[in-house]
Formats: sequence, structure tokens, C-alpha cells
Amino acid sequence: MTLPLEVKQINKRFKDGETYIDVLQNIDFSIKKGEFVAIVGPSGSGKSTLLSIIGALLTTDDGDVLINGKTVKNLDEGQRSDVRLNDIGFIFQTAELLPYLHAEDQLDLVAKLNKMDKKQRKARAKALLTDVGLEKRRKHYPHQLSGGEKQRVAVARAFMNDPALILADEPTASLDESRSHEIVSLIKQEVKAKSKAAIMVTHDESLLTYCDRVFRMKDHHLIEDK
Amino acid sequence: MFHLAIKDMRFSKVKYGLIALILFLIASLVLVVSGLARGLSDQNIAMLVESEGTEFYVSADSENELDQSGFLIEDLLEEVPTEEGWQPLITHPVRFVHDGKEDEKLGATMIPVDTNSKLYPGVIEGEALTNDEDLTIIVDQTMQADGVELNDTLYDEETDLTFTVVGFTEDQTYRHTPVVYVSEAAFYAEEISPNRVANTVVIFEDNDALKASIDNVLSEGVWVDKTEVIDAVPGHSSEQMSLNMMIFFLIVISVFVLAAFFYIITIQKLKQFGILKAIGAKNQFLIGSTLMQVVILSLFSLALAVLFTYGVTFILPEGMPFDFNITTISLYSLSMFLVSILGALLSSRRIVKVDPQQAMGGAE
Repeated sequence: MTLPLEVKQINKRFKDGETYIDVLQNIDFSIKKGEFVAIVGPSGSGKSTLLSIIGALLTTDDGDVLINGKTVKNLDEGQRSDVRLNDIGFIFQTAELLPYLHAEDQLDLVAKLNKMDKKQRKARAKALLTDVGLEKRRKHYPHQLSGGEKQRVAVARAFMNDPALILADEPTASLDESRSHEIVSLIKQEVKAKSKAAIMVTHDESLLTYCDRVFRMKDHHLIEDK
Repeated sequence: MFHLAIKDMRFSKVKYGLIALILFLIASLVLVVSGLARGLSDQNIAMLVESEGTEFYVSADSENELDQSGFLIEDLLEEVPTEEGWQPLITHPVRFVHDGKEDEKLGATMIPVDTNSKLYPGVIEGEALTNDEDLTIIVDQTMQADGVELNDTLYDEETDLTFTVVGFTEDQTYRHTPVVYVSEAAFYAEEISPNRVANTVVIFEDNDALKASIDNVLSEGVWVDKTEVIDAVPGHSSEQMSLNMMIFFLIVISVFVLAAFFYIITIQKLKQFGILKAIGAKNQFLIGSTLMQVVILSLFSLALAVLFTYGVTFILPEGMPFDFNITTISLYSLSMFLVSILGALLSSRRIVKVDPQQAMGGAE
């Protein structure tokens, strides 16, 4: 069985003036279907860089990333864009919705980019918004929604193209504590129900209880909590 | 792509409305100035443009300028009858007193004409001119703006003659004055010109034998075609050049103004573009939506500008030279359309350069 995500011996260096800084060293792990994984660490430790590499937004210096068994190494920009569209669902720090689209259209857009047919798009968008508890607010624009509601739309959008892998980059950074727990438990519920693999980067330790496994970034290495 | 473009514009009505407004204003200015350029040019040369004459025999030292050219044509009339296909053309400047207004003389160009010849333009209102010695004239309809009506009389102080307006003709203006046609018979009977003279000899088809025989009799002249004569009409080239220069600069300015506007809008949306790229939208799609917006905006604004320019023709004072010409309007509308597309394309480079990674980890 192919794993949704395999990360193989990743190294990443950034140039800083005359010298190079190692950001990631020998990162190596994999995630199974239905697994909700957290990566924690102080800011600047390289969590977001790692998530960018996994999300085909950034290339690695060494090693490889396999998403659904397919390597993202040596792909050109267009092909990486297709991988992001088809195989990965992103949830960002703030919801990052388009201001001029109502909730249903936010979901519709990513499915349209993926050339899904109209009937299927409508049905999926409706079902996903119902899953995240927004069936009554489908036609609301971002400025009419609360922060938590916007993030719910973003969660639904991440699942819209039925990706293998969900990547959440500090999805609760802009929310208060109770909203944070709501969103993370929502992500967990969807990951389990739809049997996806998910990685959440966070520095809120209280959210780790929702996760199956926890990795910590330490001195450029990723170490799993046992 | 289309729906995204529309939804964005519907959401930010004011922002896009302002751009549409600016585009509309610039386009209207371009169209109105081009209408004026054509109108002025018509006022200066319409008589020649409309003329059926194809080639003109002008004095060699006249630099093709009709007013500087002149021949005595008594001999020519005897040796080569006009039936062979030529006509003398005389432009005789006059200043008429109309309705007793001594201090508001009406400038005009009098042209004596044989009403059976191809130089006679015919009337659109009133009666046709006859080949007798009556002091009747037909005048260009632009004189109506000065209050001239059918059966009015126009008095020429210089010759002490009073002419009666029997008809109006159209598109007959020369050197910014209306053309007044009088019968050749009357013109010479009243000795407005003592001798049979002509500024130029006009032929109506290319006929080398005829050209040679005319040249033989008159000599000291050259055959030039209609465009050369038109270009030599005083003021025509300089007028057109300055107006065309204005239009050219307006279009160049609009490239920059529109490019700047589209650039600012693009810059404002760079973060959105980054997010869209991160979730899998391609450059092609993003540039496509942006161009789509520009296409919709410019088609809308240009259509309004054409309507506006058409409306302007109704509110301009009578006698104002303005020509609403479909060919010119389409040509300039098309240029403005291409200019806005060009302006938008300039900012698409920024879209390509957006790094989708910026969507990740704002803090790190």
C-alpha cells in the first residue's frame, strides 16, 4: 500500500551572506492514511520550511518527498502546481479566503481549477460546508463571517479536491482558545472521516491531544515524541 | 476565469468603476479630438477630397499650392476644347455682407463652374445652378450656421455685386471657408476676372495624350495628383500634424496611466495571487482572469466613449468643425483597446514573480 506521504532524508540550507545556515538536516518520516500528525517547535526552527517542502512550494537540497508514492523532485513549476491542486489541501494561519467570493464559491473555485464538473462541484461544496457546520452560511462573504467561521471555510476548501494530504500551517494562530480547539477537532474529525493524512504545524501544546503522533523540531532535526 | 473576473469587479465596484471612468474620459478625449481633427481637415480640404478631379496642372514654381498657381487659358480653350475632358478651376476668395451686417463679413471661396461639368457638385436643398448669367449661387450648407437661408442675398463689396442663394450643397469647403458656386457665364459676364484664367487645370481620368496637349499649350506647369495638391493646401499638414500629435500623446499617456492603475490593482492583489498559486492556480489562470477584467472594463468604457462622442455631435455649436466618422472612431477605439491590454500585460510580470511560498508561515 502506498503511503500518502514519505519524507526521505531531507536537507535544506539557506544562504546567509557568505555562509550557509542548515535549516533542516536528515528529516525522515512517513505518515499513514487517517493519521493526524503535529510538528511543534519554537519559531525559526524550520517548521514552516519543512511544511513548504512537503507542500511542493519549496524544493529540497537533498533527499526526496513522495506524495501518494509520486516523487515531487525534478518537477517543474506547473507540475508542482498540479500536485498542490490535486494531492494537497492547505490550511493557512489566517483563512486566506478571496474577499469577493461567498463560502460556496471559495470551494467551487478550487474544484473548478481542478476541472471538476459543475454538478459534482455543487454537491461536494454543499456536503463539505455541512460537515464544518456552515450549511446555513453558504452564501456569506468572508466579511460577513467570524474568524472561526472563515477558518471553517478554509478547512472545507482544503478537502474540496479530495487530496491525500492535508497541511495546516498554524491554523489556530489567529483564533482564541475555544475556537482553536473547535477548529483542530474539526480538522481531526474530517481527517478521520475521510481517511486522509494530515500534518499540523503549531506551537500550542494544548492542541497536541488531538494528534496521533507528535514531532518536535530540535537543532534542525525532527524528533518524534514517544 | 470569466466568473472570477466578474465576481471580483462586482465586489470592488468603486475601484473598478474609477478605472472605467478614467478609461472612458481618456477615450472620449481621444475620440473628440480625432473628430475635431477630421472636422478641421474637412473644412480645409473637403472641396478637393470630394472633387472628381484626379490630376491637376499647376505652375511649376507654385509648390503645388493652388493659390500660388495661375494660367491664362484663352489659348487652351481654343486649342483643346473642354469636351476632351478637362476643366479650369478657379478659387476666388470673397467676403460677403449678409443681412446688412457690415462688420461681420462672411468669408467664402467663390468657384465659377460649368454646371454640366464634373466640377459641379449639385445641391442637397433648393434649386440647382443654371448656366445663365443670373447672379445666383449655391453655397455650402455650413453657411446655414451663419444664418444664410435660401433666397437670401449676399453682397460683395469689392465687385459691388449682389448674389442670390438658390441652393445648398454639402462637403464643399476650402481653406476653412464655405465654397460658393456661381455659373461660369455670370462670373465672366460680370468681369469678376477680366481674363479667362484658372488656378489649375483639372482632368478626371489619367489620359497621357490630353496631359501632353495641355502641357503643350500652357507650358511652365507640372501635372500632380490630388494628394499632392491636398498636402500643399496651406495649414493642412501643420494642422493635422499638431492634432495627430495630440492624439498620439494621449494614447501614449493612456498607456502609462492605465498601466499604473492596473499595476496598483495587481500589487494590491499579490497576496491573493500567492495564496491562489499555493492552492494550485497557475500563472496562466491568474493572468487570464486579470486580462479578462481589462477586456470587460475597456469594452464597456469604449462603448460609452463612442456613445458620448456621438452625443457631443448634437451639443456642439453649429458650424463647429466636427466629424463623427465610423472608420476613425473604430480605429482609435481599437488602439485604445490594445493600449489597455498592453497596460495590463505590463503588470502580469508581477503575477508570474509571486512566490506561492509566501502563503506559508508569515512569522518565519
